[in-house]
Amino acid sequence: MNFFRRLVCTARRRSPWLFHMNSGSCNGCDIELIASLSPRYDAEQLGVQLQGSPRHADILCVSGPVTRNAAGAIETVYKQVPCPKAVIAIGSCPATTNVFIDSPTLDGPLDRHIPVDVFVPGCPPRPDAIIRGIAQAAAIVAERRRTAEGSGCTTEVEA
Amino acid sequence: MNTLLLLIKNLFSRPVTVRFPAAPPVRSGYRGLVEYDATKCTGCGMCAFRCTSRAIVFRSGKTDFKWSYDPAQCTFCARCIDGCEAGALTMAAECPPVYLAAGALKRAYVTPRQRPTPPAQPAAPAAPALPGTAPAPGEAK
Amino acid sequence: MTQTIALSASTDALLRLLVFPGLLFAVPCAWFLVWLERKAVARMQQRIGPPFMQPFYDFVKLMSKAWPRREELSGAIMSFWPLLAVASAAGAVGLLPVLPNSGGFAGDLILLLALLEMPSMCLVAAGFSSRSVFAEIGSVREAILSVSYNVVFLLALVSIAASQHSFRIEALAQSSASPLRWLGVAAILVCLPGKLHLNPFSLSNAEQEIYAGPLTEYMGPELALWELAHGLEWVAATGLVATLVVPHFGPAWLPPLLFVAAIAIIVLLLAFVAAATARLAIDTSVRFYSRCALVFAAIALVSALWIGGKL
Repeated sequence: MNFFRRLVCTARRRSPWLFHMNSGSCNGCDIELIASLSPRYDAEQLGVQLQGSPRHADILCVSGPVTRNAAGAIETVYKQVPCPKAVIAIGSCPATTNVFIDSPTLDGPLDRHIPVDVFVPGCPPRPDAIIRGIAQAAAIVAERRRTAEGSGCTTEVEA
Repeated sequence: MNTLLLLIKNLFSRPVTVRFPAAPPVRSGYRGLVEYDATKCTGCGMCAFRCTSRAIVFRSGKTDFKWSYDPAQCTFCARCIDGCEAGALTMAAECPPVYLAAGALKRAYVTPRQRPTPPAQPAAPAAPALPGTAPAPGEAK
Repeated sequence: MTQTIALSASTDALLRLLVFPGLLFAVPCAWFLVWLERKAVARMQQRIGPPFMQPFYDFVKLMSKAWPRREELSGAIMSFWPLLAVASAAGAVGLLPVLPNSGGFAGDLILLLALLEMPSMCLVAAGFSSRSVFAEIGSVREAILSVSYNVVFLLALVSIAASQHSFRIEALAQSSASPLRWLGVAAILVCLPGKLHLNPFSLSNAEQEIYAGPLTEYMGPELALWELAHGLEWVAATGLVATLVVPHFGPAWLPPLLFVAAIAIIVLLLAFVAAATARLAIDTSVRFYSRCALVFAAIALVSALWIGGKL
């Protein structure tokens, strides 16, 4: 049994599939995330694939300070990612709202809405820093159980 | 045709990728972390005034002052470095690291206030003479 | 006597379905082909690309997630399509005559074509049964594309079969080469990017253009089965071309090796085309295939009449 558990842990660590969500970002961090898939930095050497649907991904990458319109969308998309999952806050905006700190259109940093596992600071962060963050999040996902308590992990599919 | 030849050439040559975990070098003085030298800081608070994102927080007390910097709040615009007259702030050639807990990167320094040391007496007067006015006292004729 | 013949024929068929070239051989072969395509495209783009075990790790990771619990009937229907897709793709691989004299029956070409068609039909049905707008758009695109490339595909195969007066794949594989066969093989190669969702015909699973296309609502083990069905489709489609191209000669171990080498070369060719082109829109793809179909319809008709001696 131990062999299968270790196999599953290795597979989860070496196959991190991402879904990227922009919660009001200036797109700088989004561009650097796409740049980390470009030939110079090549996140695919770690098995990273950018997926089109949150239901296909294990890791949710969020950029942007969470605007009031995006807050509900972030929570919905987080619930659609199947367990075990991890959340990466890309850039300084989701971690601390950066320069938008007094804006009335924001709904606070990201960890007011969903639990964040890895913070990749920078404005924008370098692509190799983003890849290091993804590798760390993949290691966290590898150690997580499928039905983790308190993270909203059920197998019921919300519409 | 150009594309096809390029693809064949790429297939047989070395990839340009930087293999993980190596990273390309960071250029110095360009959007890196702000470094603080407590020995040079005069406690003017100009950096906190100029900071665009309240990453630098400056609290002044009677006997000491506290300077704190949160790289996660910083936008690396270098306004603080440009505004520092004492030269206590510089831009490092490194980027902030990935961290796991909120607020883990924040740093604070408490510097006690010191009496200013009087400047040493110069051998010759330092004030330059304006043209058309009398020369400063003490200047040898 | 007939009972023993029937028994040996059915165990033979079961071996072909399950062992070689069936599931036991086809599943690692599918992972190898998927890796080869991704690595070749990456190298052509000056990147490193995924490591060798990547498709296997993807499969294990997806299977380790929980099977999603949905409402009763619609959920059951949604979960049925990936199972059907894997079963039909595995059946299509099992029908390929890799080893010489491996049996088969008259008309198994028709069965092979039907089984090769099932995975894309399942994709279309899955998109419609997902009750998601994005899945519906993906399914409509896949259906339109499937109709257009299938005309060329079927015409090419029927013209090859008509020239041999036989619908047995075995007979087609073992017959001597002729210009008509090479033309048919070229036509099938033109259809393969459409069938396997590669550039320039990767419209139905347009990455992030319509979220994830027909598979938007699938997660976990269902997605693993879809990826497996896609890989088996790779093996079946390239294997069909390989059996038409590679002659059977030499000792018993040579044809399987040549088969694997042939499908690897075809995969490299497809990866080359995929890396060199961008995605075409639906009207351009349909126009391309319908022009192809006209040419091949004419050639097929001419060949059938000529070989039939009527010309």
